[in-house]
Amino acid sequence: MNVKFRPKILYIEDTPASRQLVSRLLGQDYIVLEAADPLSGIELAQHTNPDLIIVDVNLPGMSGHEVATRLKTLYPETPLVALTADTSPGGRERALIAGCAGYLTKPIDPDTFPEEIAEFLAGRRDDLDESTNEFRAYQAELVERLEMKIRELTDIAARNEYLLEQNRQIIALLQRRQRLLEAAARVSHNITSILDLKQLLDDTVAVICDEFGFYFAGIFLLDPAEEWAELRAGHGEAGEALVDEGFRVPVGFGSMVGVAIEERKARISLDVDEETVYFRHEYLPKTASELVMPLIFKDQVFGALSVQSDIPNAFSDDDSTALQGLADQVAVAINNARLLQDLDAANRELLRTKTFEAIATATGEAIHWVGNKAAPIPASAGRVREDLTHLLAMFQTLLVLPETERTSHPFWNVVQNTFVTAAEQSIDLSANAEKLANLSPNAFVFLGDLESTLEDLQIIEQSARKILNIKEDLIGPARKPRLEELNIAAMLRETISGMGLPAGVIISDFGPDLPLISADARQLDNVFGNLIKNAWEALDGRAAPHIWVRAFPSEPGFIHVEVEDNGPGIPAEIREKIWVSFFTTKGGQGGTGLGLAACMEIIQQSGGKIWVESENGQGAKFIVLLPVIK
Amino acid sequence: MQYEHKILLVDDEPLIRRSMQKTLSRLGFEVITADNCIEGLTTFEAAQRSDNPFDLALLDLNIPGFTGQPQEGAGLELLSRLHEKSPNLPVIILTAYDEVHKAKVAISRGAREYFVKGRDEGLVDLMDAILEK
Repeated sequence: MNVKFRPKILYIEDTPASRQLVSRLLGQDYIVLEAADPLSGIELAQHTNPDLIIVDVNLPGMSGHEVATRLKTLYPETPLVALTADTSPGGRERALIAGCAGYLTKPIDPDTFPEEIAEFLAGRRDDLDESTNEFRAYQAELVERLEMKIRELTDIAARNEYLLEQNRQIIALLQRRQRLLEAAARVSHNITSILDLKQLLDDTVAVICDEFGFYFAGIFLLDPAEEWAELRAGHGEAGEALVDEGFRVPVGFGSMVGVAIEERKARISLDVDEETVYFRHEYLPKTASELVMPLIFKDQVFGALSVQSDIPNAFSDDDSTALQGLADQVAVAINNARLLQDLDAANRELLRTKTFEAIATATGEAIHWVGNKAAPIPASAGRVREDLTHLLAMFQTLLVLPETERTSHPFWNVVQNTFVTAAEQSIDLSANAEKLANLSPNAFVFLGDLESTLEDLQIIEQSARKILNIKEDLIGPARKPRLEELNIAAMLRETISGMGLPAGVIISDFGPDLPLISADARQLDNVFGNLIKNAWEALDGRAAPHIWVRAFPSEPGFIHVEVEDNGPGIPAEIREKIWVSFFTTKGGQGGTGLGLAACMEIIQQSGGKIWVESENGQGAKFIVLLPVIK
Repeated sequence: MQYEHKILLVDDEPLIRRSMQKTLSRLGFEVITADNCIEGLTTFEAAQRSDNPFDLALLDLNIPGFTGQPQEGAGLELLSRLHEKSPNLPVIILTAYDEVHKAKVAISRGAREYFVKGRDEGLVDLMDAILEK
């Protein structure tokens, strides 16, 4: 069977039903190529080089006429046939003007259609008559459509330009967000590695200014009374100067920082001229917008982060989010640093307490030892005086007796025995007498002088008693404690009335129903008497002197008693030393410096605690915790 | 010479022991001394067998114990041994330190009083009070 040569026919048509029909009618004798739109039709024509092209007049995008014109330009030799349902006047003419060789109308007549196609393939060319008007009309249509297309393209270009700009902005935003995240990460990293609060705050404000390009960043922390927000770190314009001069703002109305802390909410002022409570300072004249975030961790406000810009509306949502994240991190870090500081302080406090305890113990032991060794001295001196008196009495008695009666007197033998003892003790009385005899009578004044001997005995006794007094001051009265159930308020009232201070000086405040304690009333009376006496001495010469004595239940199992004065306070440098034996501020005006050391010993023996709180110039408060009876 | 009361004094510090003995002797007490637990017990037992037993004992808290070695609180051990022989013997525990808890222990172990050494007058007052009862 001979392979039949089949010409190629391209059919450009957007209606599938029409393509199907044509394909069926022509498929037998031709290779039918199909395209659903003008552009793919033109493309297919370029690739396949068809022998004839059938084109639908109503096509999407380009009209069939334009397709025809374009194809005619590309393939001048290939016949084109317009196929259309449009039978309006001038349709045929326009198709022919556009370059079509023929013009067929729908519906397709299956009987004639293949024949007509064959004719066009064979070279049929329909003629055009009275073409001028139609030609002009087609040209006008083309120009109109061209203009429309240009407009569309211009719109698209403008739209593209807009999208491009938007993309650029989004990219810039993303880059900024990235930088903010990096800055936050940097601060977070610092936070985990820096436990020194000051350094952390300085680094944080520096990073914020550098990374975000702000005019000023500052961190305020609350003072212990939570009344003021103090600037603790500042960066950028005047930051350090403000910190150095101790800049602070009150919590509450009056500043953005104060309000943000009080309300625990971030405050943003995009134009400070409109914000009534902004933080304005002469050092920061260019501030145009400000963002303040409270530093909060677990419901606790530590202070606030203030960021200022010299341009209005400087803070985007991203900035706020990133800065709030930063503020949260800083709050965590402050909390950590504070915990560490507390721990450190507790540690140092413990070390101090232990050191002074050790010193107090060592001193106490030394005093005990010395006191112990000195204990027999007064009794011995007393006996020497007694014996001396006895001997003198005996000599006197014997001396006034007539010589004949001396040897028979009972004292004679006693006195003779002392001479024997002296000899036994290798005291050579004869040699001594000889030496005395050779001295001039004036020298006798200093020898065998009873007054001097008694004085020496007194010196010995007094020195020894001083040592014993000190020992007893330290350990309290030399007796065993008599523990009894004690109503502390009643005991304190007695102590206070026994002090005899001017009326109105002591202001006492005892809580009702204080639990009983087990203690030695006399020892406690000593302790509180000592504390009140010290307070009174500290108040010497001061106007409106007062001593407050308060007692109330405190931590479980303890009664809290405090003695507070409005005197000059205890300087920090001696606040620990006061507990050490022999430390005294009273100089030569008496006082062994054992009062507080003894107080501490007594309180510690009772299972309690004693310490002092004082600020220079603001009085002193001694606090005693005593265990209650369980 | 007839003394009114016979006292056993056990203390290992010679100067303190001697001074206390002299003070008490001059006040009319017969004072027999010992410097450790063993000697203290022996002296006490010997006196008990005679017709002149001790009326009161002064025992230092920290003296050489029954092992012969210096021992903290050995005085309390001697206290118990003396009370085995003579349950009603008044005993005063002597110490150089004011240690409250030791005082409490001494009282709970049967001592009549606890005395911090220093002033012999105070001790004499205590002894008089006990012996007059």
